[in-house]
Amino acid sequence: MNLGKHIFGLREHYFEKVDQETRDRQFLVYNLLALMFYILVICCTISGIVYGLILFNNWPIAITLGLFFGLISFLLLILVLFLTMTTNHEDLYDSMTNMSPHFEPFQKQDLSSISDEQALKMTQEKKMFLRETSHPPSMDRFHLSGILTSMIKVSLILIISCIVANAIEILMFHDKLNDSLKSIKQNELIQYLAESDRNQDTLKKTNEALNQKRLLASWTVEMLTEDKDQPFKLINSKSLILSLEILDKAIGKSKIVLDVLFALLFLTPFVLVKKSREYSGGAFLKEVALTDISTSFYSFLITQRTCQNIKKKIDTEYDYSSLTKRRRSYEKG
Amino acid sequence: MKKDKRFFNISNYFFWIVLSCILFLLLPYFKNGFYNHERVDVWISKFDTLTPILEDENLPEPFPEDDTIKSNNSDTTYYWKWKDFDGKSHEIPFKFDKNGLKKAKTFRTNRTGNNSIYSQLYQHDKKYLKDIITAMKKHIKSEGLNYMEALNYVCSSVQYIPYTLVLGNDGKCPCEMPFGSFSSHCRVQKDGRGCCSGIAPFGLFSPLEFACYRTGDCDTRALLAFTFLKEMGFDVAVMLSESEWHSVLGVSIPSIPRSRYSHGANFSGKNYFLWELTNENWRFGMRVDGNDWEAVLE
Repeated sequence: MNLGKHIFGLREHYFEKVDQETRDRQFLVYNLLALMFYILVICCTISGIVYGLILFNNWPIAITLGLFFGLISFLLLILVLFLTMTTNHEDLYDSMTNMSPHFEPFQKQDLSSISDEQALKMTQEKKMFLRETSHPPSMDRFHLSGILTSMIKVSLILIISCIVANAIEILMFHDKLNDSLKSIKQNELIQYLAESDRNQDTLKKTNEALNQKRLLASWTVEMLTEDKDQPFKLINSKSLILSLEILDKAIGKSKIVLDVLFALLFLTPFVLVKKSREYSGGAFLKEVALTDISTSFYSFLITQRTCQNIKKKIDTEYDYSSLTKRRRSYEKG
Repeated sequence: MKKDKRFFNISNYFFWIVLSCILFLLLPYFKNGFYNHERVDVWISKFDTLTPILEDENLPEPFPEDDTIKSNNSDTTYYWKWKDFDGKSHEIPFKFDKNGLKKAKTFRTNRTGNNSIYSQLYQHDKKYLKDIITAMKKHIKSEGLNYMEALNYVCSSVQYIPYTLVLGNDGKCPCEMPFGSFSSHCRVQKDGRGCCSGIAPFGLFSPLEFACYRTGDCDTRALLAFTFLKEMGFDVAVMLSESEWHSVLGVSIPSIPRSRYSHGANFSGKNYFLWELTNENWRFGMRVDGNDWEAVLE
């Protein structure tokens, strides 16, 4: 199954000039990357549904929110992957960013009479030349701006992973979490404080710290009390923050372990694309780059031909003497 | 090329291993191992009304730093001993400047200002009782006492001390009162017949004096219990009844219906349940006579 086709545009025709082993390997690495990508997007969608259920206690809204979050994550993750996915074949990279050296020899040549087939042939020759001469460098390219862009990409991935980790953890421990929330709601001390906060007799309060606790207790009880028209679906709390705080307290340092696992899960595809030469030095990106260069080169030849023909037409067919006549009549007048 | 393949393979395996770990942790056995409900109890404990209390370092110093008396005098140590309602013995040493007791007495007799005597004595003496309050707080926390258990613990320390009648300038010991006979000894007696006279004004010892001499009647006891509990964050009051010529501790617990126990109120109608402290047999909720109980300090 070619999973990479729809995400990365991995198609057979790119590998016509590549041996079978390389082709199979490229299909494998891109399909695995696509599979990782799909898994991450599914995780994002599930976490969106979890948050939707906690915030709205409504399945249709939760599913909509899940799909929306999944879509946003899909776009952001694919953006990060594509920004990282550049060929490191030196000549091709340079040609992609600046094609002037390739165009220069043809600037002064007469291309007005070349046919489309000839332009295509020249393009193919250029493509074949670049294919033969470009090789992956021994060292990766380094530029200071790369650090900044990498930081931004990593931050973005970590933010998404953090959001997903919290949601999946809530999903993992939701039954236990509900037990804890129930015990909090039924705690006599919290109930007493919440009751005393509601009681108008106790408006005169002198202990600031105690008042804060009363307020917090009152809020806690309110958050843990189900609305009649909106029963709890997943977590018996209206507050996401309260649920996360209780979860954090209950699982303690294990939460850090789980968060790190999710961070690693999300960062691995990014690191893979960034550091593995199977991608940057692979045949697929090389062929894609060659296709892009040859398209640009062919367009350049055709454009040059058209430009030169127009120029010739102007030189031979335009009546310059009419301009001279018009000037003379003006001077006389 | 082999190196490239190896990096890819390792990263690829790493991804699937991490994913497997996460899925593995979803299994009930491992999931339950991670979750510890006892940690949530720690979170709940932050609602404990005992914690809003001034922390040790925030309690005021007995004397300002530039106090020359303090630098010339060493501290005096007393012991606050009692048996709680369960018969368990407690002993809390408390220190203050040896002039503290003298200062407390001087303040009681020569105090100025418009505030009530209860309020002034509480404000003045609470700093001297820092050690007792701190030790009680620690005990309550370490034993994990709940709200009512903590109240019992503190009040039992006051109730354990036998009653001593305290009279102002207008009274003389020994004397006969409607509630018993009292000897001329101004010291704590096991039979609760001790009597102190000439304690101006109003026959009321300050909290520190009571903690040291252990001689106190109803209002002195109520004031000391109030000092302890107020500093711990409890919602309490000193209650006074003119018709009964009596004073008790008031405890506000809004969740309990007013009609259930004897109660009084402050000027704005806030209710306090009455707690008699004059001997060790009284408990919260026991009936207290009188229907004109008012909060004079809260």
